[in-house]
Amino acid sequence: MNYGKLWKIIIFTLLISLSSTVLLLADEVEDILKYSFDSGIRANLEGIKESKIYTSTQIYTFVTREVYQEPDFMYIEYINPPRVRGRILIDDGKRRIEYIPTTGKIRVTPSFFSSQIKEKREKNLKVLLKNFEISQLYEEQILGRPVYTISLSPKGISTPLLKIWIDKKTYFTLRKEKYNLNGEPISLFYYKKIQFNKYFPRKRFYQELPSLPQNPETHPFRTYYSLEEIKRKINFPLSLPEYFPHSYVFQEAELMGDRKTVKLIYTNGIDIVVLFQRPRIDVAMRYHRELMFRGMKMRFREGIYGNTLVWSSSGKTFVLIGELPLDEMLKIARSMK
Amino acid sequence: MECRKIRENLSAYIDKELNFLTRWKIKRHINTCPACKKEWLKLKKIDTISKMILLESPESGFYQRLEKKLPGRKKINSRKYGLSNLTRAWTFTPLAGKAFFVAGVAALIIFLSFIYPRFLSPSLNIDRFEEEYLRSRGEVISWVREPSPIILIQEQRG
Repeated sequence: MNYGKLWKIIIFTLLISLSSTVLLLADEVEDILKYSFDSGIRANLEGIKESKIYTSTQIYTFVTREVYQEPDFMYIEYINPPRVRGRILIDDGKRRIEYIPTTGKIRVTPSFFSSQIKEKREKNLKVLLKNFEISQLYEEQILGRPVYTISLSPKGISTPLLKIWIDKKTYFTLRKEKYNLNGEPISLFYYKKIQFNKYFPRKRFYQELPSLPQNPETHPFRTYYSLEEIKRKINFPLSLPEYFPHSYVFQEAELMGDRKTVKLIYTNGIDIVVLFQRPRIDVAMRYHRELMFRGMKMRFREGIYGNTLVWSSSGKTFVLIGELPLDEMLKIARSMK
Repeated sequence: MECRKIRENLSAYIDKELNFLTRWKIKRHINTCPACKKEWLKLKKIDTISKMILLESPESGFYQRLEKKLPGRKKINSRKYGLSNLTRAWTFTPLAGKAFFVAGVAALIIFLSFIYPRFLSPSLNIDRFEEEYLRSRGEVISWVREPSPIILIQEQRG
């Protein structure tokens, strides 16, 4: 027997099996993410969740009691901080009800699980898969349950922007950590306590709410447009940025209630950046700092969930909001055509 | 006050055109100075007579005769045509006045349609934009079942 030939066959077979394993693993990670991304709920559970949002000056902590029931029911009640205690969010797959006890206000919006919003998320997932390297990290357990640990890093950059811990059995996200490109935390959430297989009659949660008003403030489904469609809907020339940070793509456009303000949404799969524009108007703003950039007076402020930049030029007012540093926001503003 | 100054102001005093203090000084002077009082009574008589003449109405048919003598003036019977006061005013307004009025209305329309909304319209609050941003964020990013965007906005305001 020719041993040289045999070695070649063995090495070739090993290479084939190794690459197919890698491919299978890659597929598996994507599938895990897809299942987790899907808006449906595959578990009946009750948990206490702690969420932290980091800004340059402060850390905001929220504690919520959450109940999820298959296939499309969720109940979130705010426990802490005291200022938001008692606020309730119920989503029953048809509508989302938000109740604020201090004002007694009830807001009704389309469900998180509605087909329109689900479709939006599917589009977003495609962008995410295109823009990020998804890798499965070490085996781990959270609150005694085995989890998939998945890390998402922008292609060509090793710093992970997102780490998620997904329950192996139910694909429920048990922990999430989000970072900026410098590796600094932006936000995280985790469950302090969680109990699976807990069933609740849905009616019970509605008892926590005061009786719904006859005509609650209902927000209908929005209409989403492409760039070409939105241009035809408005009576002023639409300005578009020539620059956007890598991996961000245009997702959709909306026309706000006044029919004069256009909202352009860009996403990289993890975050969104929204660019508003309308004929010149004064925008009332507090706690901001003013800056001059290329002869334009701009206002900038840091918010809990992103930074805001406001400026006016060519008879129009622009508002840019997103989790982007100021220099990136200025680059976008400069590139407006 | 000297008599000369008093007499200069007597006419204005009769027409009640002077301030309270001057009137009081003149009145006091008239009561003490017979010469000025005589002058005041004379002027007052003239004033009364002139008012009587002006108040007397013209003899009948005066305005008809006057109208006939005015050149190029068309007689419009408002009752016959059922015209309102505004239409009558418009009819009698000279051409330059009409042009001025039309230009004014056009300028107002332009101001309200273009200048006001663009430069002087009421302001919008930034919270409205941030609320819109958070709403889209909640819809797009699925596993971010984080605190409700609306609550966060209010937390930020607090």
